[in-house]
Amino acid sequence: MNLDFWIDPWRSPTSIWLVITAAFTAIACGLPGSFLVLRRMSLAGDAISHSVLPGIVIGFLIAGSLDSPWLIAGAAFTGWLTVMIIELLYRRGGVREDAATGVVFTAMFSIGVVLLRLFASKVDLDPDCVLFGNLETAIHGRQVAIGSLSVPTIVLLTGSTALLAIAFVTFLYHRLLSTSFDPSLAKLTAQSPALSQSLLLAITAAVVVSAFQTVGAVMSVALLVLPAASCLLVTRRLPHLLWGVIIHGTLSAIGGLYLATWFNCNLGASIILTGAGLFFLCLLRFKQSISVIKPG
Amino acid sequence: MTALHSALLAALLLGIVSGLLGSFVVVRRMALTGDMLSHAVLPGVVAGLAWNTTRNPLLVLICAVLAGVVGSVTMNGLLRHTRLKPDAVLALVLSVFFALGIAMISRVQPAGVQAFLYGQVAAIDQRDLLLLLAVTAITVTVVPLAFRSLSLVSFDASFARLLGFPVRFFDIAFFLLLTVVIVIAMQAVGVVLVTAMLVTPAAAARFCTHSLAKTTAISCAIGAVGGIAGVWISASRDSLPTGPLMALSTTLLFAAAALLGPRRGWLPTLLRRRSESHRIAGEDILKTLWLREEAPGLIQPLIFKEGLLKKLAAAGLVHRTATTVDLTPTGRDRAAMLVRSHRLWERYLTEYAAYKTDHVHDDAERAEHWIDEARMALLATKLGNPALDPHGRSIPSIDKEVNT
Amino acid sequence: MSTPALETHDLSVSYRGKPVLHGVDIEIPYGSLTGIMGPNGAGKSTLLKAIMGVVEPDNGWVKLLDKPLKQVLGRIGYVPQRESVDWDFPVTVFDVALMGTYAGLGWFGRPGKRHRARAMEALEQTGMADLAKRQIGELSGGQQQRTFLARALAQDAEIYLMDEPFAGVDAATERTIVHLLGRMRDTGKTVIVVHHDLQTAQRYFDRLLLLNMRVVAHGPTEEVFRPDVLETTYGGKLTLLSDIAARSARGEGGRKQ
Repeated sequence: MNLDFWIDPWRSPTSIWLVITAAFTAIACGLPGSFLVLRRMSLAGDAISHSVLPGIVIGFLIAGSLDSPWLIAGAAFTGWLTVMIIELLYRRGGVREDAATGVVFTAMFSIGVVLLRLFASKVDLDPDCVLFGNLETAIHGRQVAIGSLSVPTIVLLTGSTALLAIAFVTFLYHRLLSTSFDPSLAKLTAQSPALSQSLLLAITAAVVVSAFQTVGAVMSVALLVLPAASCLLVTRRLPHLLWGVIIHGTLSAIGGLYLATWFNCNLGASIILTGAGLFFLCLLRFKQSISVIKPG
Repeated sequence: MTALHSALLAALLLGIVSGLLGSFVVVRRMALTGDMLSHAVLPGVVAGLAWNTTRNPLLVLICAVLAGVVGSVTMNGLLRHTRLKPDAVLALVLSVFFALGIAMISRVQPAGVQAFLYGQVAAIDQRDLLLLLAVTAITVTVVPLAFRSLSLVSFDASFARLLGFPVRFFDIAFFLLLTVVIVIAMQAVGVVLVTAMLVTPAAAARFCTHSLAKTTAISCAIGAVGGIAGVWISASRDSLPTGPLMALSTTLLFAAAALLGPRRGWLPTLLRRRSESHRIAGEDILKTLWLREEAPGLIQPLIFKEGLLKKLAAAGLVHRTATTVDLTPTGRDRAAMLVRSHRLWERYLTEYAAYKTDHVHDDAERAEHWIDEARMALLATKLGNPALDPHGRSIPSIDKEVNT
Repeated sequence: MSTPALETHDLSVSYRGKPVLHGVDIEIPYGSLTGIMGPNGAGKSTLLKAIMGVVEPDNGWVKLLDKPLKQVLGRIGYVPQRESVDWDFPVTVFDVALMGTYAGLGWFGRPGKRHRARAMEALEQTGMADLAKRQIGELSGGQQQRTFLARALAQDAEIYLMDEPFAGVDAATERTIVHLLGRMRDTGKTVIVVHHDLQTAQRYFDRLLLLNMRVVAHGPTEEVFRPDVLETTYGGKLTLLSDIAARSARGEGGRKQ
């Protein structure tokens, strides 16, 4: 294996943008996703990632393009609606939580697909994008000139979403920590656990929208959960976990590019499979560490 | 058989079989495990499709089931050997296996994969239909036969084990059957919406009935009707995809059950509550009239609601003139029972529940409406048929008639 | 103070359709150390949850410091049951203690030097200062309990609710906790503890509340800790009481019309 093998994927000028976009998306999803995992709400993330579809379609119909904040607003709304209906069915209807989740997210997803098909002429959204992601195409989409560079708008979109996620996790760190660790005490110390939860879900919906174009709806669940799950195996401190998520996301993006180029397969899937590989490495490290620690 | 007929037949069979298994999936809280399986089988489906240029449904099924097994084993392994929580492990296995499937699809591009991803009932051909028929036949035979055992194992596995049931065998058999049904359902509604066919009909049925047997039957019906409706609508409007329409029809039936289901539907519950509060208000009127007879002058005359008075009069419990309301003998007996309940309950609270005498009245005001004849007899026996309540008032006995 | 620190009236709470508490009336005075005792399933933890507003009562109300809970947030301390904590959570002993100081931090607030000092002081009081950097899963039972006690101390509250703080701890930790509870009571705090052990209850608490779905007895320990009262408390479930309470909570089935 000569050096070319390792440099080849980078020869195409768009490669750098691809990796940057993928890294932004992974970071944007991984950070709020960490709190979903810590709160044992990974499946809410699954539900939201499916239920943003109708919101995206409606947002697109209003805004006319994929780069508009209307998409995020629409997605946040349908994501919020999903969680509200699940809660309603569970609290008032006596439906078991897992069944309620299943009923609602499939209904939302179906509405989204039907809307997409009904308004196919007006909505420039490839239905395949939902399952496959669309990064290779989107990267060649609209471009914006910044200085002497021509930057694809999707890079800016995912970049701002990543910034949003970083800001959210940084500025609300202590709220998120206390409401995730012990909601009862959080209530007593006026940390507004209910509102914090709603915010977390809203941000999740927003980052899933940006992931939508990168890896598609279904695989965005992996971006939410995989980084935190991997890092939980090797670290026992929350700040380290969050930094680890950023590293995991970046490495997944780079590895994804390599995988997609070498094996000629879908970029979104490659990113996730790299992430899974990193998870596996963390698992080995975890196994190694518990054989050393004596129970205390 | 036209394409539409075979699609309708497929929807019918699928509705039945997923309804049958679905009620157990819901009861065993495996709704999201089913979701995990439907995503985890994708690599197997792709492998099976890519094997040959001509599609072999049985081969695809076998490869898919194998993939499902690997997914399940991975999940259990991660649960057992790491500190990761079940929800995270489920989401992880679901999405990573799915990604593997997508990667394989983008590389190999096997024919017929569209049908599995998005569902294409129209693409279900003779061999698929035969397979579906076989699976439905097996399920429809086995599940009712093993119903009682399956129920026991689902509700209380440890107890079943104690009784000597092969719980492990049931779990594995159920899992395999479920995976097979999931793979078949995928071809109709697509990978994401399999959960809709499995979970939604059964969840709807839970609004309608307590019994698991009736739940299973109703969920088969809802699954079949929803599926057929979806196929029908999608056939008449060419632009609409079948899978989502089947899911949405089923969800509409769910919504109907949630609103109207006799057991827990919103409307029946509301009506039940309303009729209970009317009953209680009516009983309170009877009681007030009785207490006025017991100690005239002690209780100020109250204004009673016209509608309630009419009902009580119609039931022969009160006698009305233009200016007065009085108890009829039947009404008096009924009121006496109420007061008896109230005062017995006060005794019970003070003697058995260590309540203070001045704290029992409010509780008894509520409890008196929920003590039926059987419970009242129990109370009386337990207390030794007392004559007085904690405040010294006499407790009416059942046979006594108050002389006005 | 003439008003009680904690007051409940006619509090009835169901859990999953089953009545757990029925008609509970309590008055707990300021500056006292009260133990809540009763058999399993008697509703002790549920009572704490209802006081903290975590579960909605079917009936009745709760007043803390003579006000509803919403108005006194930040003045109520809490030590949870060990089994309800996620010990895998990536936080250290210090992080947990620090969370007790969060009341009053705005949405974007960060705990400053004063908060950190308070947390450290609380850890010193419970003897956990040396283990401040340990992740909570790496602690023994007694150490875990002392960490959460430190968190409560760091809250600097007026009323403290504790759910079985003595469960599964070593003797040294038990002594530490008893000593701390006494000190808290002496400084005028109101401490309410769900306790499980009859033998130690008599020694540890000034007042006892005996609970078995309803209040069996409540008052100074010497008055309440009597064989007949204990027998009523632990003597078994009042089936008729829970039966009728369940029916009225569910709202179904009285006499036929």
